[in-house]
Amino acid sequence: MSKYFATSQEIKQLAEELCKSHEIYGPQVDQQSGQVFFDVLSDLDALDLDAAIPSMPVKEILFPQMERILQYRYDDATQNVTMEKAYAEKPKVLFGLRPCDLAGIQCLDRFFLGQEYVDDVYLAHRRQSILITNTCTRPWDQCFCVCTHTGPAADEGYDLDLTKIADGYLVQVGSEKGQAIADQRGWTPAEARQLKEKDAVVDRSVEAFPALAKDNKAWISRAMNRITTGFVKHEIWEYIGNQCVECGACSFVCPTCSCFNIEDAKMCDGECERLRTRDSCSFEGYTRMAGDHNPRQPVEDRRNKRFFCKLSFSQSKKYLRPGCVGCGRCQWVCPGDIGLPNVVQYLRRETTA
Amino acid sequence: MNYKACVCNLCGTGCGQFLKTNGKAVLGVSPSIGHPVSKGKLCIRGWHVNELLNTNDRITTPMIRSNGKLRPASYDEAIDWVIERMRDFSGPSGEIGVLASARSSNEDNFALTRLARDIFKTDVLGVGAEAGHHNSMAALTHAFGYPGAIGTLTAIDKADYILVVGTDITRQNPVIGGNIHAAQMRGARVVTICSARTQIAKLSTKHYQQKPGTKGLLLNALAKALYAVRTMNHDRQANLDAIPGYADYIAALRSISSVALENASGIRYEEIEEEARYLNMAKSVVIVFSTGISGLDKQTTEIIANLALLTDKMDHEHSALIPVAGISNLQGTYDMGMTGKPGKSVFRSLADARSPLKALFVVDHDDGIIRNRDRIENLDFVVYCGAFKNPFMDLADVILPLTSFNQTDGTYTASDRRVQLTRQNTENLSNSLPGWNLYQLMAEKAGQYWGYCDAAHVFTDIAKRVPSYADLTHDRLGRGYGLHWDPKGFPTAGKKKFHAVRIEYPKPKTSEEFPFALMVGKAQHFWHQNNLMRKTLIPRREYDQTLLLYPQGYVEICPDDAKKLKVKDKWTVQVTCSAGTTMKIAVKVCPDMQPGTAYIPYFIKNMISDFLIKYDDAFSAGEESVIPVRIEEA
Amino acid sequence: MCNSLRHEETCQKNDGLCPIVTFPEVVNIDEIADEAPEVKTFYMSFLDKEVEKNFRIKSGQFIMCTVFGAGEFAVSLPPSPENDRFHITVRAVGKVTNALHALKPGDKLGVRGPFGNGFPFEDIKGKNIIYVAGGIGLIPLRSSIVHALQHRKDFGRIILLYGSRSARDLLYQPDIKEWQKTDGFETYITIDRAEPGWTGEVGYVNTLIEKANVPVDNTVAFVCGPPIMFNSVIDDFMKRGMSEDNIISTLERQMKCGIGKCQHCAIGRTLVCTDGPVYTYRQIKTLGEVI
Repeated sequence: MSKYFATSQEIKQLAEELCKSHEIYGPQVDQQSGQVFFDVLSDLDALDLDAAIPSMPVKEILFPQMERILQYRYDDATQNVTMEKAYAEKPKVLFGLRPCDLAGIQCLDRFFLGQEYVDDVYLAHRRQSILITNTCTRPWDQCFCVCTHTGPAADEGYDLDLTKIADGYLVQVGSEKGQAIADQRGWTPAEARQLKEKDAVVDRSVEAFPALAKDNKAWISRAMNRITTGFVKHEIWEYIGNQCVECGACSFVCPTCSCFNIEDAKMCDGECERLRTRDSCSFEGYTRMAGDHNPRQPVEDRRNKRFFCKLSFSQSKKYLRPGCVGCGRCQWVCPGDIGLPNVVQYLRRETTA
Repeated sequence: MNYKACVCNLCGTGCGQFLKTNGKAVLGVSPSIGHPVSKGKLCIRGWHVNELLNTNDRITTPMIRSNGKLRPASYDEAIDWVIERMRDFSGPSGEIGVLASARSSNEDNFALTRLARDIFKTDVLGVGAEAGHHNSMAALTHAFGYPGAIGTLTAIDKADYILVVGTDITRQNPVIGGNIHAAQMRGARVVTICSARTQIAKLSTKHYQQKPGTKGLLLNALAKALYAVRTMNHDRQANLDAIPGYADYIAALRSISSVALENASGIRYEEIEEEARYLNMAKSVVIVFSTGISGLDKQTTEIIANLALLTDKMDHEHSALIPVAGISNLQGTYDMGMTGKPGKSVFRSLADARSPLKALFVVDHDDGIIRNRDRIENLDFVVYCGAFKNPFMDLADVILPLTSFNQTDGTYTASDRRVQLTRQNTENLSNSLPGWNLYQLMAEKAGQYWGYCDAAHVFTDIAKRVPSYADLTHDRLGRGYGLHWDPKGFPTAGKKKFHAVRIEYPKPKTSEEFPFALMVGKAQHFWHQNNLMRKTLIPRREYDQTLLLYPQGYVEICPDDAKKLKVKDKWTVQVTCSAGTTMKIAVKVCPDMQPGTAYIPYFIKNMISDFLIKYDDAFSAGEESVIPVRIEEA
Repeated sequence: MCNSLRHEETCQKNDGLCPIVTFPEVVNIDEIADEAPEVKTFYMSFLDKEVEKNFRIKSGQFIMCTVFGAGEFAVSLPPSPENDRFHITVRAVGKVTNALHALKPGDKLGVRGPFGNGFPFEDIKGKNIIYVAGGIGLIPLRSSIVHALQHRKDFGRIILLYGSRSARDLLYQPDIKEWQKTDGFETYITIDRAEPGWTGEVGYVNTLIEKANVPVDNTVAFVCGPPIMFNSVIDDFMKRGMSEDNIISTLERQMKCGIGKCQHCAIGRTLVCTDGPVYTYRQIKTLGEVI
């Protein structure tokens, strides 16, 4: 695929051009708190490609926390119903994705668009999306993508990939869609030294991990082996389960978690809506069936289920990679001490002790 | 950007969160990573507040009851009617009661206080959870000179020693529970005193599972042991001697007999002695206990305050003594003077059939269970102001919609005195009024002009009249994550005093006839008795999960007791209490209980209205209340 | 197009026709029959006759049924794939099913599906079939029973062992009487506790296995009922030397989407909605979770 060099100004122009035909989303910093969000850019000046990893995963755009998927009105008197699809396809550009979030989107793609059926709601969000990734020139405290092979640079799945080098950006094309965009831009083809410069940026970023990414280490392959073969002592699951306050946060911030719930709600004017909301397998009611039967009651069973989903080999076959992309967000938000990297530690410690 | 910062309005932790909003509706939630207390964590309630704020169960228009039916009205007409009717009643003689909400902002509660005092001229006030909080505040004021937390919640992150007295904190305030767990993981000694094996007990360094009703005794024993350790080490603290009440306190402690202690509490004094050595070694100590509806009784809070004083570590920057509230602005409501005077609360008036009460003004009564319903039905005039639909609407003669917490500016005071500002981040589509403005319009109708132009303006008035808030403004609070109000606003702050304690060895209230000690408490998804949680999707499902498994509620007993009673999980039993009431309820066999005890989370309406209500203690003694019961196969 | 990536494979289950995947189709409730306390049967027909023509089912499949204003629930299909009235039989257990029970003829429902793999039919021709049902476990089996009886000559012995709590709780009683007219259809029915007026068998359904002297060789058993009944029936079959591959059941799980996305029905690595709901006992045993 083609490789180009573009100045910062040209990258900004790219964003300006794309936002004419697309809704544009990108990383931006909340001024007051300094927290980074990947959200719709009402002002292109807010786009900050140097910002840290966004605090919420980018899946929020393609698979929102709460979404209306159907709207209907039932008239009791005439016994008639009128229905309307409530989601629509909108072209979007995700500008400046971190590689871990791209890996998350790839997992969601394989899950929602692969398997037996295609999920129409996800497809409507995803079909016309343009993915533009941004190489991490340095890791942040909680990052461990080097352990999950999802960063610091993206290697596939993007339309365009940006890497900040000395005097601009190296732009790599990853798809026909991306090529079509590049063809219109008139960027100069990249020179060999610029390609080398990118490699050096990535190497420097990887080398910085021990010094900067201090919070988490999670060499997951050993843990995957243990989980897949079932050699994890019950006490370890219990130890993990005891620390779970059942908030569901780990699932909500995980770029690859895709469980959802569907509820119908009545609105005040007789109109009804079908809401699709994110769900978490850590909740007790998640597997409950009407009547009185819950096949997965103790909290450690439910925890177990989530880590099985993230780390087992059979599940990885569905995603074509482990279900963890090394973003470290679950460690941020867990009121217990059982973010995935820590769980990996617990599982490994048992194996090495 | 669609993410707007705000403060979670549910429990008293005061977690920071962002609401994702398109300006009209709340679409999602994100935690606030930089918030000093919550640090990026939220509990199941906080994560799903978007579902609550999206509910269609909002009150959107004022309503007036005429001929038994509610009809829509304008604010103007409704306010007119309220003021006109209220003239018929005499506030000074106790005919008007005001039942406020501990979830209302400080601005709303401050304005409501003015409305009650200046317009209705009544001091029959109250909020739902106040009884327990009054105890905590009185105990702290006596011991430390001001009614509020000593130190702050962030002390948990640095303290050497953390004592959790009672309270199922990972359910009630999960984020504080998580912080305590994190402290334990980094090496702090976390000690829990609780008669049930709660989650925080499992995560503690040490759990003392005492017999029900003996928390206070155990804490006194710990104080005695602490004193003994110091005496032995000859590190007599001269400054403690100077604190009034010290000599009496020590004398009382000395009288504790280790045999009687063990008999009453089931804990050996040797264990306590060892604990005291850890406590003595710690440089900083954090003590948390629950305040409010499931809080502790007066005596136990006083004992806690005394122990805190005796440690002589409370001035350390990483020490704290925190009465943890279950509702967001319980502390602020108290600070604004909206809680009733002890002995003169609106609840007292409602419960007392001979009280002159004739009219009731209620705000955001989100407890799903209405106490004294019969009495309220028979009142002459009831006004309900609220954001969400509520069973109270059936009792009201006038209904006035209010904004929800994200539709207006407002400040909220968390358990550790942290005053935080939430700014309006969502359009107020139904043009509801914020509380302060509604009350101001009422005052105006009654002929008094307050002239508030916005919430910030109300707050400047608060700063003028509430000394501990004197140096706070919306502008200052809007920067960063709020500020703690200043104890120095109270002239007595820092003047320490020991409470007089009596050493008692609570005899088990149980008898052969009523062999189980029944405790009453919270269930995880039954926050605020569920009226708000029922308007969400996921937390509601989680609650229904419990309800489906145990439709009539459940009583937890340990496996051995279940075996003795020859009952199994989900079987129905009859519970008879010593006051004579009975109820049918399912058994939940739970290994975390100790033999001879039973636990009922109150999440079933009948349990409160029919069973517990007759047992006054259950409300006044809160967490420490023990009801002797008999459990039989039904 | 049904949105299925494995379009042909998916539609094969459906006589080559697409299931209704995302947007519910509206059906009319033609008739409501009381089956037992808290159990009703709803006879329905699609408003859109084109849709009706293309709606083919297999025994053992399920649909997602919308009660407008209340929500959607998964329900197994009791009608035979051939020449049977489209209906569902539902016990009122939750919010949505209670709302369904409050409806009257002429009310509308939404239907998506059919989903799931379904019971084997062609593969078991020439074999004896034992149906073992406990309580409302008869509902998913009804489809297969009727279908098998419609093709009576293709099978060996066809035996129904059916147990319920009390006589009132027995489902499809007129149907059973009708089936019994088919030559060589053996029925054994029991209730848990004796009651006045009941002259039949008393006891749990597994006691019928002995009484019916069920065959083991060249036999498949379809077992459906509450977990406790399921386990004791399996025990008895295993003691008699039945192969784990020849015991077939259908699993119930909470479902929200029906198309393998919401993950509510995940058990270990299988999804009941797309990989199931019909499993052999050998498969169930390896799922690694409580049934």
